[in-house]
Formats: sequence, C-alpha cells, structure tokens
Amino acid sequence: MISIRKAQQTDCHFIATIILLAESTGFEITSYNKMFDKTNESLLPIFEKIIDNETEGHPLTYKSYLIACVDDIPASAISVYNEGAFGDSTHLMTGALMTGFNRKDIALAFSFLKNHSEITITKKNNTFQIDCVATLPEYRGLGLLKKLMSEAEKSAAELQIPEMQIQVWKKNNLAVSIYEKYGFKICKQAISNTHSENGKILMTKII
Amino acid sequence: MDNNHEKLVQVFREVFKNDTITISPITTAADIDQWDSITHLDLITATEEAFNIEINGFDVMGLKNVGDLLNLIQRKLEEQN
Repeated sequence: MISIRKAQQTDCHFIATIILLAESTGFEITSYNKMFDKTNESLLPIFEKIIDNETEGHPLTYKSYLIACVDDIPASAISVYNEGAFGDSTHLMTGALMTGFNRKDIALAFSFLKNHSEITITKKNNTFQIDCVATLPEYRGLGLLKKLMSEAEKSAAELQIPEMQIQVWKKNNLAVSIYEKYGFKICKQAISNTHSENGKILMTKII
Repeated sequence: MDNNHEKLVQVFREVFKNDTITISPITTAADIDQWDSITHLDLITATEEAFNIEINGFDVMGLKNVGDLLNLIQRKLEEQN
C-alpha cells in the first residue's frame, strides 16, 4: 500500500540517502560529491546531520520533504519549499552546510560552484521549488513520484502559490520527459561553458 | 544598536568592496548585487571578526535580513556580558 506523508526527524538518514541519490543522475556537472571532493558514502552521515534542522524554506532540512512509503517503508521523496518565504534558500543552505562542514571546506565548495556560475538559475520568490527528487531503485515503476508531485501541487494550491519550478540537467532527457508529462514546461536554459551539450533547464508549471 | 549598525555598514563595505553601500534592517540579499553564497560566508566571518563573536550554522539559518543579523549581534554581545 502506497502512502504519502510529511517527513519527520526520524527520516533524516533516508532523506540524506535521497539527496545523494538525486544528485547521482550521471549527467551532473555540479553535485555535493564534486563540490566537497568526497564520496557519497562519506557524505551520507554528514548530510544526515545537516538536514536535522527545522528551519524551513530550503532543501537541506527534513521539514521540506514529502515521503512516499510502500507498506509504511520510505521509498521515495522530494523536497518542496516556498522560495523566499523564510529568506533566500541559498543562504539558508549555507547555514545548514555550516552545521556539517568546516568553513574552509564550504569556501572551497562554493569556489567550485562559482567556476560553473553560468549554469546557475536564480530561484523566483513565491514559487514552490521541487528539488532532490529520487526513488530507491527497488521501488521504481510504482508511480510514487507522480503521487508526490500531485501532493506538492495540492499544497501549492492550498497556499495560493502560483507556480512550481524544478531544475534538471539538460542531458537528463528522461527527467525532462517525465516532468513534461506532469505538466511542466521548459522555460529557460543555462548552457555550461565546459560541457556545451549540457547545463541546467528550468521547468515550470502554473498552478 | 546604532554603533552596531555603523560597524556593520563598514563590514558590508569591506566584504562587498564598495564604499558607498548602505544597509537598513530590511535589506536582504536581493537588494545588493554580488550577495551570493561566497560573499554570504565572507560576511558572516567578517562580522564575527568585527564584533568578536561566534556565529554558527543555526544562527545563519535564522537570518532573513540585516535586521536579523543586527539582532543576532546584539544577542551574542549580551551573552558575553
């Protein structure tokens, strides 16, 4: 039986797994393991600690996650947050990262991002940002993501947030086609200077 | 508080390398060009040095605007006394 619920503090390990899985698309130019030059295995306990915070408005808190369970076992998750409602999400994420990494590591990670700044797409205030989308491999094909996206859209409508946004890697054709099926449309592209065939795509859906 | 505000203006001017920058309690990152993740981290570190306080990640997550930063500075200074 499939059920959807908001994440709880006890889900931090699962959410950390989802965050790192979501970043491992095979098409990523930037990711946490590239930024911090660490393996996903070594990042897992660090992110488990980082997301154990209750400051809303960014993807590095368990508070932002919706979880799909199969027979009460967490199987899939997405982060959903209202950009700008609690401050700039990137600055909130800086604070969250400071709870798990030292400042030298964070500064190096941000320098790495700056080297790819051409693919940064600014998040628009008062939009529902969908981020860190992943399903554990053994639960794929059950329609969990569709249910999660539907729940996110319902929340957006209840909060009168007019638009949902998601950013995907340009080369991730499967992800783009899935979100198109859910009613998202491509509205912006930011091409990489170093990977001319890749970059970020912004997809939006008006509620 | 006014002294803290003036001191924080100097911190902003040094971090953003802009001698004409002005801030108010409602100033946010959206109001200042180049206030990105790197300068945010620099701003926190420079604020710590200027006021001789320590700011942790949870403190940073509580900051929505310059007013919140001024309140945090005031609280940290009071905790030291």
